[in-house]
Amino acid sequence: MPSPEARDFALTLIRKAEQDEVVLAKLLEDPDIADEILGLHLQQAVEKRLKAVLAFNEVDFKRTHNLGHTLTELERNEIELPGSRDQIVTLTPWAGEARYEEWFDGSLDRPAVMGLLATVGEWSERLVGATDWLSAHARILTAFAAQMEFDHIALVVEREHESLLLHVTEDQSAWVGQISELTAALFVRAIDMKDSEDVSDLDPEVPKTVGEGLTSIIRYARVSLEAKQALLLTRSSKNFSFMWWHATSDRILSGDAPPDSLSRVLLDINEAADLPMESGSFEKPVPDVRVSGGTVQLTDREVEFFEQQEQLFREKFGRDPGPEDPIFFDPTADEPRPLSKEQIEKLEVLTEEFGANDISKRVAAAKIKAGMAVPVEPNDVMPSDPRLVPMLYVLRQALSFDNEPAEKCLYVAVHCWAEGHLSVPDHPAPDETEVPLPSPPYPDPADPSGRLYAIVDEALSRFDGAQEVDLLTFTAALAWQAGIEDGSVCEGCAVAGASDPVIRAARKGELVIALHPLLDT
Amino acid sequence: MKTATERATIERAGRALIEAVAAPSKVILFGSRSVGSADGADYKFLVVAPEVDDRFGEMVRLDALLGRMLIPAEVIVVSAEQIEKTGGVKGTLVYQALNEGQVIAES
Repeated sequence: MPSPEARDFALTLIRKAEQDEVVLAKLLEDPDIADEILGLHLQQAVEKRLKAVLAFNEVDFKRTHNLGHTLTELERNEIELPGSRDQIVTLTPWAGEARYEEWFDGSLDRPAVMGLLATVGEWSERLVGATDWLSAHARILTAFAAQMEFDHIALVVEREHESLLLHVTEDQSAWVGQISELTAALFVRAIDMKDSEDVSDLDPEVPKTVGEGLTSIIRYARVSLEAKQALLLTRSSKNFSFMWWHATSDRILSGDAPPDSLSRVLLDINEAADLPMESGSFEKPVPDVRVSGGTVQLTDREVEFFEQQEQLFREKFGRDPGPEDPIFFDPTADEPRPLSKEQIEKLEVLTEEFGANDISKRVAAAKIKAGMAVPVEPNDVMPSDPRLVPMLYVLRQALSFDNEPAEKCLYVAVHCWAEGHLSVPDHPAPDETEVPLPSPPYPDPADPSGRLYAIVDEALSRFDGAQEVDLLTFTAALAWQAGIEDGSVCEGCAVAGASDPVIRAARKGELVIALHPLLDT
Repeated sequence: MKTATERATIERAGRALIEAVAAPSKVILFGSRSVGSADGADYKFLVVAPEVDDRFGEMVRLDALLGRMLIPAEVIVVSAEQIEKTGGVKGTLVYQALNEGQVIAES
C-alpha cells in the first residue's frame, strides 16, 4: 500500500502525461507537424506514465529520459511491463539532443504510436488504481468513528482535481468514492450554520466546541488528503456536529448542528454513496458542466440530485414543482419559497469570511437550470420557462461578438441583470421609452455597492478568455439573480426601446424561440 | 568533481559502448556530466563509428544497452564522415562534444 503522498505523486505524473497526450491527440494526424515535435511529447508521455507506476510503488527512480533504464527499474522491482520493451525503447532518442541536428534520421510510425499510447495508458492507470488508497483512508475513518463513539461520520473533501466522500455508516461499513463538485458544494451549503462558532485555526490551544478528535480529522484531511476544503459531519447518540475548514483562510467553523439540518444532509450522503466505485479502477472525476448554446448539460449524477430535490418538494407540498418554484426551498415554510434572506446572507458572510468564493460554476449553472426541463435531452431544447429565452438570447448574442472577454462579460451582466429584473412574475409591465441607457431596470452605475462590476470581476477571476462559454454563463447566472432581486422590489420602471424586435417580442411573451440554432453557436 | 561511483559508471558505459560498435571507434563523454557538475542529469555519450547506416537505430540500440545496465544515459551516434562535416560548426552537438568532452574509450 503506497503512502498518500506517493499515490498523489503518481497521479500527478499521470496528469502531466495527459498534457502531452492532449498535444498528440490534436496534432498526431497533422502531416504538417514534424516528427521531432510529436516524438518529444510521445517520449514524455510514456516516460511520465512509467515513472508514475514507479512512484506509486515508492521506487526511488532516476530522473532520466532513457526509457530502457526506467523499464529496467520496473523489472528490478518485479512490476509487469506495458507491452513490448523493444517498441518502447525506440522512443528514447526523441527526448535527446540529437533531434535538433540536421543529420537526425528518426521517423515516427504514427498509427503504431497511437496503439502504444493506449497500451501504456491502460497499464499505468490500472496499476495506479485509486480504490485501494481510498479504502485505506476509509479504514482510518472507521477506526476513528469507533473510538469517538460516533454512529455516523462523513468527510466531504474537495481536492485539486476531485471531490471525495468518505462515509462510515451506523453498521461501521465504509463507503469511499468520488462525488461531483456540485454535490460536494451542496453538502456544505445545506448545513444550517447559524449557531456555529469560529474556532479560528488549527492551533490545538484554541478551545474546540466539538473536541480535539474532530480537528485531528480535519488536520488529517488537510495534510494527508491535501484538501482545499473539508466538511466533517458526525452523529452520535446525543447530537449532531459539523466542522468545516477551508484552505484559503485556514480557519475552522464548527458547531452542533440542528438535527433536521444535518440529518437531511446525511440522508443525501447516503444517497450519494449508493454507487460505489468499480473495484480496481481509477475513476476520473466527472466532467464539468458544459453549456452549449444555452443548454445546460448536467451529469447523470446531478440530474439524479435534482430529481431528488423535486421529490422532496412533492413530499413537502403535495404537488410537482413548477418553473417558478425554487430548487432549494425553505424547509420551514408552509408555502414554497426560497431560503430566507437571512439564511442566504449568512451563507454569503461565511463564504466571504472563509475566502471560499466557492459558489462554483456548477451552482451558477444550476441557477440557470432552475427554470429548465430536467433532464435536458438533445431533442428537448425548449426551456420550460419562457422567461429564460431573453437571457439565452443575450448569451447567444455575446458569444457571436468579437470583443474582448471583459467587454462581452459586461454586456452579458448588464443585459441579464435587466432580463432577470423583468422576469419577476409580479413585475409591472415595463413602459417602453426612448430614455437613453442607463435607466431602470439596468443597474445604476452610481450604485455604491458596485454589484454589477463585482459580478464581472468575479467571473473574470474564475475563467479566462479561453473558457468563454463558462465565463459568460457564470456572469449571466449571477447577473440574472441580482436582477431578480431588484425586480422583486421594483414598483414600476421604464425600459429603453430595444433595437432588436425579436428580443422585444420575446420579452413580452409574444414569441417563442426554438433553441435549435443555439446549439450551433 | 566526479565521485568514485560516477567514475566507475563512466568506465562501465565506455567499455560497454566500445564493445558494441565496430572498430575503429571512440566514445566521448560530454555535457554537464563530463565536468561532474550535474548530479541527476543523464550522461551524454557521443559514439563515433567508422560507418553508420541507421543512426537512429544505433542510438536506440545503445540507449537500450545502457538502460539495461541501469546507466542513465543518452547516446548519440555519428559517423567519422559526419565528424568531418560538422565537427567544426560552432553550436552543433558534435562541436560541443569534440571541444568540451573527453574520450573515455577507443578501439
